[in-house]
Amino acid sequence: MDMQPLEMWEELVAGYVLEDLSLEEKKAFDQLLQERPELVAAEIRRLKETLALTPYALPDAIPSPRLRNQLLVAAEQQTAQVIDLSTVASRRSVAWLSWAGSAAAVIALVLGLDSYRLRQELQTTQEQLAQQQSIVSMLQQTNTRLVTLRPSAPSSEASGNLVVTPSDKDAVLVLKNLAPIPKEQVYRLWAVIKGKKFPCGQFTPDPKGTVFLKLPMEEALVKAPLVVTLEPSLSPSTRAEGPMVMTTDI
Amino acid sequence: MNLSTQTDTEVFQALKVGDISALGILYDRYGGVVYRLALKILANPQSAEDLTQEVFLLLWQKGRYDPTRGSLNSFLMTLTRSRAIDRIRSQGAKQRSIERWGQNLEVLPTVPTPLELASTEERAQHVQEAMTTLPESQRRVLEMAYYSGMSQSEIAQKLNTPLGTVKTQARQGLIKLKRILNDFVG
Repeated sequence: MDMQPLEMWEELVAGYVLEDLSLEEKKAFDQLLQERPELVAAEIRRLKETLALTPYALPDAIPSPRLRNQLLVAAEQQTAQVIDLSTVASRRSVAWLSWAGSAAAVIALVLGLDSYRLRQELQTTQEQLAQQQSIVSMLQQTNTRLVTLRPSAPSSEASGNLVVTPSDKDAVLVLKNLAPIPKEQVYRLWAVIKGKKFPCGQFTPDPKGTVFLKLPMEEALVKAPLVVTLEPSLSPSTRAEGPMVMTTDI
Repeated sequence: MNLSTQTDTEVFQALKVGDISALGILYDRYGGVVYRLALKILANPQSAEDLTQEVFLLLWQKGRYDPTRGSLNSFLMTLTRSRAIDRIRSQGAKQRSIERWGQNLEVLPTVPTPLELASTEERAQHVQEAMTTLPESQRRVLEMAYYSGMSQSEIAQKLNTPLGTVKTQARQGLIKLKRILNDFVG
């Protein structure tokens, strides 16, 4: 291939990638593609990769540091499983009994229930419980810390903990007796840093007022005071304007 | 295994099976340049942050990136550019297939490139140097096409330059850039 056809070849493929081929050029490109499909595909990839590098030459700009946490919270919320304790499991084997017993004991500790009563309430399938095993195994680790949340209003019986294992990538929020809310509202958890509230997650309790929510582990969840507020579900997830429902002791 | 030292493809595989730390790692690698591109096109920091989050959530939810079809950088830039340009288009504007730039032909499988091994700062420095070697006319036409989504006819009209000249400038600019960055993109 001499210089002139090579230049034409490159220009045709560049024109294809830039989407500016004339009808005549398009025919020539199609012919080239038929003759040398692998070469053309490789050149297209190189040109696309080149174009995709050009944004690195843009002036330096960085998003707000909180965007990372916001993203992870939003992603986690899409996959978070709210465990309805009232539907957790009847036992079918000795091994299963043993496992369910230890899981129930840990959950009971967190919720401040006695394990016998909790076990009486466990009604769901083994398969569902297997999905929840990752959360329970976290609760069973010895270095797990509990951050206690208490209701803001004296009349509320809400209680619960944020369960944090420093080596784990997730924290788990476990609450009970939270007042039911309509679909138009959500509860949101915030870390309060220098007087500003930073979003950590949002949730809706089950009909019994219980919440089980996995959150991405952040240092602020351990060190900063936490608050739970009640917000309109359509309001921006970064805005805390609703009434305070629960707080930590810190 | 420390996921943060793995290749993009390996981290993406972890993301596909629901490892949220993989999403954090990919955000650390590409969040900055996604935001930079979104800000350039949208010219509004809040909108750019919203779009940045949207792009990574799409990666998390859909997992549509196919490593055999190109780099993750290329996939994210194409997605960001497409969404950003869609947003700035006024209602009733003609819809062109922006995403074609990223979707046309099947391409060859890729292996980790020097690009993946470089930090964002190193990439920025390398690409900025490459861009400065382009003649001003070529750089301007390429940037107008990439960041505004204008067709080359529209660019020709705006610059009061013949369409053939604009096409040649864009193509030659892209080819030159490819040659300079060839080792970098693999």
